[in-house]
Amino acid sequence: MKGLIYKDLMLSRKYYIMAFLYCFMFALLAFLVRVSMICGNLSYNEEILDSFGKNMYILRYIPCVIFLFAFSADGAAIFSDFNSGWHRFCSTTAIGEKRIAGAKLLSRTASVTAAYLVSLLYITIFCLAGSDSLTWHMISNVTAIYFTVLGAAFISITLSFVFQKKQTVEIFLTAAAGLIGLAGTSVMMIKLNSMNVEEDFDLLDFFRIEYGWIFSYILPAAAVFLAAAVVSAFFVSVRALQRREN
Amino acid sequence: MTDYKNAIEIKELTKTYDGFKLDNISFNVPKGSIMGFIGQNGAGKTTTIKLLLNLVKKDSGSINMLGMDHVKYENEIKEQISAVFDEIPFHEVLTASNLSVILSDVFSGWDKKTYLNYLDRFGLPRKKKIGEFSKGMKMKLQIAAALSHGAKLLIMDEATTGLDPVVRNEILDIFLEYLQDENNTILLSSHITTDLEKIADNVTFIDKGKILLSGGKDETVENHALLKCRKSEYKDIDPADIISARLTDFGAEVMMSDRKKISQKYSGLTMDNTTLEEIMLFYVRREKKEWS
Repeated sequence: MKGLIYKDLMLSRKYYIMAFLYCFMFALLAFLVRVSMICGNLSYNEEILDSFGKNMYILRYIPCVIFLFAFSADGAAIFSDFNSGWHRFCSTTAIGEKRIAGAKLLSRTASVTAAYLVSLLYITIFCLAGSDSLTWHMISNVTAIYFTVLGAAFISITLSFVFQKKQTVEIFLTAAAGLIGLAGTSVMMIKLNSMNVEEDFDLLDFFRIEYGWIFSYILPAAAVFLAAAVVSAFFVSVRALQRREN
Repeated sequence: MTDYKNAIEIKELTKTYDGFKLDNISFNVPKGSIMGFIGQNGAGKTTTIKLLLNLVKKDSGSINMLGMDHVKYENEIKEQISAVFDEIPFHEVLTASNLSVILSDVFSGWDKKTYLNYLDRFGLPRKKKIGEFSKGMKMKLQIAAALSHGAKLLIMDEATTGLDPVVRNEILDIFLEYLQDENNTILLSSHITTDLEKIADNVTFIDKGKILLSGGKDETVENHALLKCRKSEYKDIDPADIISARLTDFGAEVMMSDRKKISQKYSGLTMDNTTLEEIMLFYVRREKKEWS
């Protein structure tokens, strides 16, 4: 599958370059902020929040954009395949849908995992000597996004592989599942962050105490997967009906 | 692979779409030959090719390729054939070098050395993006890829359409070179009959989903004649002998088959040699019978 994975990476490389530059730029910014805080003997607390720190908290959302790049990279590969007639070419060869789907799963796992690792790196720099609570929130956020985006990709690829050969549906499935995943995660993140920063109640702690820390990531992600699966199933049904008509 | 006489054998193949029917067609493509598959746009050429490649399911009939059933041995067959279409199926942001890495994963018999040799021979830059290639270069790239994994059968669907005569001739020369190996076969679908006149051994003419003619190209052309006569003479011609006739202010041009018979029957009339293009033109209007 080396060649097919290579193809996907080549098609989406500009997004990886952009993601790298973006991450590098903000990691540098975060690092400078931390250095200035350490030099000024400051930490993330109410005092900071009341002054300039509140604006700085926006940096917590930076990893989300990294995932957006990963998602765009996958999209670029899918749309390039579709526009170029690559699928028609593949169907004239013995390569088989199974290998194509396998290569897609691997390349997407690679791109999303890379985004996750870059995000963790960013968090490490950002939260260096920062508060525990903030670190936990950022890790929980990016982990939830990671599972959501990856899950959406797996669902869409698997369903499009199982139900049909043509790739039109895959584009719909990926877009629908991915957008729902991102939207769901964004809502969840805003909820988590607003509750923690503005109130005493920590939703993450609540999940950790009630279900164990692992469920604080899996439960919300599972909910989003379910929504993505429902939408995917809808598109697959529409496609199946179209095929029956043909 | 079993030994076979015909690279492609199509028997009583039928496929029905809304508004179009490929109607019980049968023809063979002998191993080691070029078969010209001609017909106007919408005649059923691409549908037939899609059925050959099992991209659409047939309603009935049978297809054997390289001596194997095209559904049962689909993968074995597809390892040994190449299909080339009028539009390049490769990503425009990639280069010809990138393509070699990718296609080595697609074809088990991929030969990088052969591919690079073809690139050099066709004057195709290895590092330039495919999107920056001219149409002729793109077609050459497709053919280079098609010829670099030991394919025994090339299926070309309108591959020379839209190319300038120089590039078309270059490509036709490549086909002739490919056929130096007598195990190789080409099915060349086109509505540019002049190309087929140059290189085809056999022709199959399809119109409105039906095969009208199939056989040796030279025999097909030699067996037809274009009879030129005055209007008064035209009235004396037996309608059963007429495929169709073009009427002008001065007289008529009548397409007829079975040249030997009609040359005796109408010995007093002028009988010209004809071309594949004229045969196609007159056959397409056979239902109308008379046209101008």
